[in-house]
Amino acid sequence: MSDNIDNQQPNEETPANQLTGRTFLCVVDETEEFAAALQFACRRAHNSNGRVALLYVIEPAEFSHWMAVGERMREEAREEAEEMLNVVASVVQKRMGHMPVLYIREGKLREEVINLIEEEDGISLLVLGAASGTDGPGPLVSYLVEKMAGKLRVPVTIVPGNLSEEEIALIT
Amino acid sequence: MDIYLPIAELSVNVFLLLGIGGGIGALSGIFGVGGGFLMTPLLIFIGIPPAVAVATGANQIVAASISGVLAHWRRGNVDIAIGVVLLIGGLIGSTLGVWIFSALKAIGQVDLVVNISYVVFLGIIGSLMLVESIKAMMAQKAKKRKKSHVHNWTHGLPFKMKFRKSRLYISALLPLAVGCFVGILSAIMGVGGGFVMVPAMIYLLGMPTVVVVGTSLFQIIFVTANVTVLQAVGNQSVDIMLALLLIIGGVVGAQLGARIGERLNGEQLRGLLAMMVILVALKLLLDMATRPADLYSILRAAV
Repeated sequence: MSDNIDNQQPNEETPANQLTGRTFLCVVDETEEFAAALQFACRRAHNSNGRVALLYVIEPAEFSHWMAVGERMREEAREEAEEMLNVVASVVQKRMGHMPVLYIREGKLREEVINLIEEEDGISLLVLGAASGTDGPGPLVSYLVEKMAGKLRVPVTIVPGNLSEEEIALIT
Repeated sequence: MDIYLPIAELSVNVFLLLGIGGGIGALSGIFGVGGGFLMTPLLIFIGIPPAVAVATGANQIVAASISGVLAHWRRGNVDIAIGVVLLIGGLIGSTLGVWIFSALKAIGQVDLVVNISYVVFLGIIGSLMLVESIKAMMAQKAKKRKKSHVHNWTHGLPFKMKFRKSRLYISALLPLAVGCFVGILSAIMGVGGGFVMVPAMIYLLGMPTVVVVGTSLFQIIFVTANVTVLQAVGNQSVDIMLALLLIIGGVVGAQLGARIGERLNGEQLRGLLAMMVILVALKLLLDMATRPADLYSILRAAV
């Protein structure tokens, strides 16, 4: 008697305490492809009665000779991160009806993503946006696909950055 | 294997120079750009006349700053608008500084002034850094950050300009003054000035920290280039052999330093740097106070 979530009917507005199922983790940044990835994650979460998790990684600030300056850099970076996450979280709230799970981590992007996935068992899927330009899909995507995909605890879904909302709706 | 430095007018071991260039390069790789202020004293220690050390040291900073700026530029962290104002101030200041330098050289006091400036500068900075490190080790929590946009007398100054990237609306005279001061320092001491400029930009001008480093590097490129050219043309004090050896050592050292720097702890590094700065200041002071090896030095009079 497996808990087959795909058989459940998706609800319009699911109260948070009735959410079972998967958590879709999205890495937040300011790129265009993140919008596509977020859209994908929201729709998947909605259709499977799951929720969205957002991760913002604060990269370590440059070394500065003065401790006061370094601390101030950290504080400002933290404020930026919180602001950005709040904006994105309110978007998710509007689309899905409940708040996403928010994570802020400090450290190197690729390490923190992997660490978070290891720590939080509830995360079921990592959703990443891939840039469509000539520079390649993006450093995180390249790294994860080339080196880590086989070793991660969860599958990785790579969403092309140039998919439109309609196209994403069709596949979720 | 000794090599003769034409302008410095002495022979130095090649490997020693490569080593110094490499060491300073490593420091700037570890600490970010900013080893310059230690390079000049080190050169003075090995016997290079302070005038030559200052001018040649300034040259070293140009290249490092350029590569630094590119990295920040790609991330959109350089405020060109305020950078240009700083730079204009810097050009004025550095030209003034080189003029002061020439005047000192004419009366034969330039070595003394450079030495004293370094002792004072390094002494103050080293002590400040040490105090910071000690406070951090005693785990004093930083006080709550006050609002950075406090309206004081500086907001009454004229010539206000909008600096979009830094989200500031302040008088252009402020960055001009900061740039000018740093320019003078740069000309007389052969430093980039980032050490002083970064805190000034954050606390005096109120810029957001994310653009501060890139913008300061931007300013430093032009100011140190100006200093190098003016010193070379006006004072004949840039030694090309010296510069070449230092650059070669510096490039290699910076790569190594960057790799080492990634593994080290910021607090330890700062403590280490503070100690080094103070030691250098003390040694300079000592050298000034004790009997030199050569009681008399020969200065070329104006031809």
